[in-house]
Amino acid sequence: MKWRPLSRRAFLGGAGTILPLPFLESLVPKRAMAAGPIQRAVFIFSPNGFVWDSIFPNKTGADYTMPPSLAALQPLRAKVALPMHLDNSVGKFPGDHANGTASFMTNLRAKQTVGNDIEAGGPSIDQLLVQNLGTQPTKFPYLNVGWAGTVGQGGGGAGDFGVSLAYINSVSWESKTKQLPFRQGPDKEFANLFSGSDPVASNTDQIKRAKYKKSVLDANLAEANSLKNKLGAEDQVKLDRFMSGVSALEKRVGSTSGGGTGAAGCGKRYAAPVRVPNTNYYGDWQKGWYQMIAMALECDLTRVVTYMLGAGFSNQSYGFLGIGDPSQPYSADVQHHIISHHGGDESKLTKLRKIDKFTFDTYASFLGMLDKIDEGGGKTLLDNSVVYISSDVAMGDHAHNNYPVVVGGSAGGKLKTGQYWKFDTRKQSDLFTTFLRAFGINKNHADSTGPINELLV
Amino acid sequence: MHLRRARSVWFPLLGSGLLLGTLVALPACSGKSGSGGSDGDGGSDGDGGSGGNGGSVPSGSDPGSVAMRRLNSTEYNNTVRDLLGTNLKPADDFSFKDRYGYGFDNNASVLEVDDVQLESYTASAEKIAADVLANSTLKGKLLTCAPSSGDACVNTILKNFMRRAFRRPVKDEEVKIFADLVKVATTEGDSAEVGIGLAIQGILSSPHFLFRIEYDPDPNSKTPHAVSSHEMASRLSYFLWSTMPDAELFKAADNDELKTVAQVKTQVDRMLKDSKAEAFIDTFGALWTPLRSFAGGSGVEPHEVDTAIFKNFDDGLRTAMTEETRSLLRDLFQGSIGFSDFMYGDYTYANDRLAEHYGLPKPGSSSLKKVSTKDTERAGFLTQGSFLAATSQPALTSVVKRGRYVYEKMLCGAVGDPPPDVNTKIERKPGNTVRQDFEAHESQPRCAACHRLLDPPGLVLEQYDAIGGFRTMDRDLPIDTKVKFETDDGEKEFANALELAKYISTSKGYGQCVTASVYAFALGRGPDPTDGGGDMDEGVLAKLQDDLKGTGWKLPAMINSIVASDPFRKRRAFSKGAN
Repeated sequence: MKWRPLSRRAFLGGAGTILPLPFLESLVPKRAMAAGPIQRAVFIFSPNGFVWDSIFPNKTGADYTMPPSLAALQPLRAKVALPMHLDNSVGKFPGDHANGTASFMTNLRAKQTVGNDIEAGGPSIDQLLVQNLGTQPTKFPYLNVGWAGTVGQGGGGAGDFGVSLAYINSVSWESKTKQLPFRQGPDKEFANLFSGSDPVASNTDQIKRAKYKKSVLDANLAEANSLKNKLGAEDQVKLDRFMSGVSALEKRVGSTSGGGTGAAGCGKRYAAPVRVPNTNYYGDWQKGWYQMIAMALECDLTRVVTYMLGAGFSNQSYGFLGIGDPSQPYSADVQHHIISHHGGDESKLTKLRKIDKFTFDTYASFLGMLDKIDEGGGKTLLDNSVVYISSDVAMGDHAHNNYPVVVGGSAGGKLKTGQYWKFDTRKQSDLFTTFLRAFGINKNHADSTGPINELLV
Repeated sequence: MHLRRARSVWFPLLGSGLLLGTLVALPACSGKSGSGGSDGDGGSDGDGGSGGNGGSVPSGSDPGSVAMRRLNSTEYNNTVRDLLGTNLKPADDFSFKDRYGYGFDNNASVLEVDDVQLESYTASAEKIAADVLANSTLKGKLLTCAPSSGDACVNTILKNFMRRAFRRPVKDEEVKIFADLVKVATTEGDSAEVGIGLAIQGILSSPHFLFRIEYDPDPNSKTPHAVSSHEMASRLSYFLWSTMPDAELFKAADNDELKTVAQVKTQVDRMLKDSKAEAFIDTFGALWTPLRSFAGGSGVEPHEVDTAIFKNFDDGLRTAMTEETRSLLRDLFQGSIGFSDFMYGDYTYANDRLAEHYGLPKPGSSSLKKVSTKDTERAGFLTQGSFLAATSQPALTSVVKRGRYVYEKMLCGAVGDPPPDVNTKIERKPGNTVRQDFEAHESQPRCAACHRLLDPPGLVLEQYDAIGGFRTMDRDLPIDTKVKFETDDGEKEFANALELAKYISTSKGYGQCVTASVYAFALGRGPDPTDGGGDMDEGVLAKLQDDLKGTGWKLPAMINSIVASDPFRKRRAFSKGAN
């Protein structure tokens, strides 16, 4: 098995804001392959829907013409599935974006509230996977990364037509009341992800350091325990969150490598990305996180990742794609949510198609990174993964059926790829149930009636 | 435009008493249907709710409560500075941003700690401990005896430090938890000083440090009780200074001398004069105005200006504009002007550069001086560059952003985003003025429902360009700023921004909104039952608004009234639901 370094160029998008990776010496990861390939799942949330005429292929089956927005996937088409037109009606009006984001992976209707008492319908598919995969040897049981973007302050706001904007901050729910946080800046998070090893420290020092860290965390846990019964019920929930944070940190102490099967010191090969301010920050940021995710998967830091390209309702400016229009001086005509309500206006649709193209260009380059990581047995990391991408709404003017969906990889040969399917009588939750089967889990997700058998190998 | 607010979702006690539930089914401001329009309040006094109903103000019995809350990034940086003397500003490197509630980043309900944040806090604790122990001055202050001399010294050091870190007296069994960490280090063969470092790390990642916790005699009882003197010391210091209590406040708390209104006011008088009170400008002030989004800071990017179009805009001008607004905020905070004068006054602060930009006589100075704006196009906050730029696009003004800021932040109104199926495109027609283009909003009832509230204040501000320069022409067309709209005092016509600012500056809607904003910041919660509010909020707010109207809503008086009120001095078990 050979370590093939990811091309440094591949990460330097555009003006290169997130400057990554002078590779240090290449250590060959030694993976234990005894129990078959390690399966990974990556869920990508891309806000504000897609333009249908450029993302749905012309015909079902294997010999469709690659649609314009997905053009960059052409070299990988054999490893990509297009199970499209699925339904997620639980996300509908009022509050299309808040509900669509809340139900993106829970597939159940959220509590309709503008208060701070938000509640999803149930756990999201990423967390259901984490819970059913059982204890993992990885440093992180899951990784949530994303961009808080230009909306998403949450709490005490007017909401999305009466539905709390707190829903748009995170698509990941451990339970119906526990919305999970996202890591934001790849530059600032690098140390948190890949820390834990000091190349010059001796082994004894490393052990001592881990012991100290654990003792400190134990002290905090002891304090929290004695604090708990002095608090009211709602503050206890807050303290519980703190305590589960302490426990999560304790588990990571001493993980000098990925902690999983990644080679010891895997992360040492990489340097922290550096932020260089420029006007294309978002574009480079998006690529920066893709690259960090690829590194984290390769080092086996985690096996389940959720990546929000933006918060639901995102008004991310895409001016860097050159879509600003001088004849439209009043409209925020480069802001994603605003232009996503196109009303059939061709000038907006043109911009949206460019945004969609950018979204799938970076997605395709991410799949490309994963496909360069050889995991033995003729399989690449991409083959051993499912990399799902879709949106809170199926299109900008809101629809919660006919979702465009792309899935990269086959979860280690368990899922069919290379085709376009029109599953207009099935739900998103059925696709997620199909993923559960591919991971050997015999449960149905949310309101699903069962897996989509056409997709199972 | 309706200067009486249709309703307020941010501050539900304000507004027409519309049922919140209606919002779930209907888009905001759907106009004459009564589902968010301004009709429905019947009488000419409007507003119902909290406004000056004289003797009928309900007094209530529930002071409300506030959730346990994490220190926000500003508070964290300030607190570690005052606690240990470090120059590090660790929160600047956190990858997470504080969320907002009721307009401010100190809203208790949304300030939590999760595992991602805790990672940053523990890493920061490690850095701070190392920084302090590597600095002989800071170390000397902390280590008042030699830790290697034995348990007695270690316990003394820790107890003193913990009392300040936890902002309350600590029990011996609490000290023991961290004294044991010192033993962990010495057992490994490290020095007791290394052990103190570990203890500092632990104390700085303790829930008692990261959170402000207030205790109830019975954590499930809704019976109101006074907060302890130590809790009061923290309430005051985080409200006015955004940091931990100082030695004086600790002393007063240790003597239990923060119980009476007089005792509290003595401290507040002192605190308002302290240089730490400058923090109020950069917390409350920078979030109530758009100053933080203009100048940047606390994880917020500075407002972008297109310098290809505005070739004279640079950091010098940005700094001058920032300092101009900060100076006016300082006057507001010190009470030489009230909120009325802040909105409509006869002076500002400028250096030569800014005066030239504004077309005012130059004060002959590169630092900011107080300059008269009498008989000019400037009067108060709405005509300051920081506001006018922050509510513009990089290259051009935004009628909607400006209007929305005035309507939502200054008048506490609320409008949602456009309904999903509405075409939001306004065509720029050659030969049209901006105003003529915007009349498209009026021609479509669904647009007009909200835009009749938002567009007029934006339109009257059109005489100020995207960096606050004064202009009478836009693209060779004369700017017509005249607007008509319905106010609490009937339909009124305003010829320009100054007339609008003058009207707003004494309007009840503005008085109610600034009062509610200061109150929400002071308490760290909205005057809202779903955020821990009690039924006393309404009466306190109404009284504040009425009592201070005559003086133009002076901030020090407002602060003094709020700290004397039951909601500031009492609490009961926290609950998001109504009591």
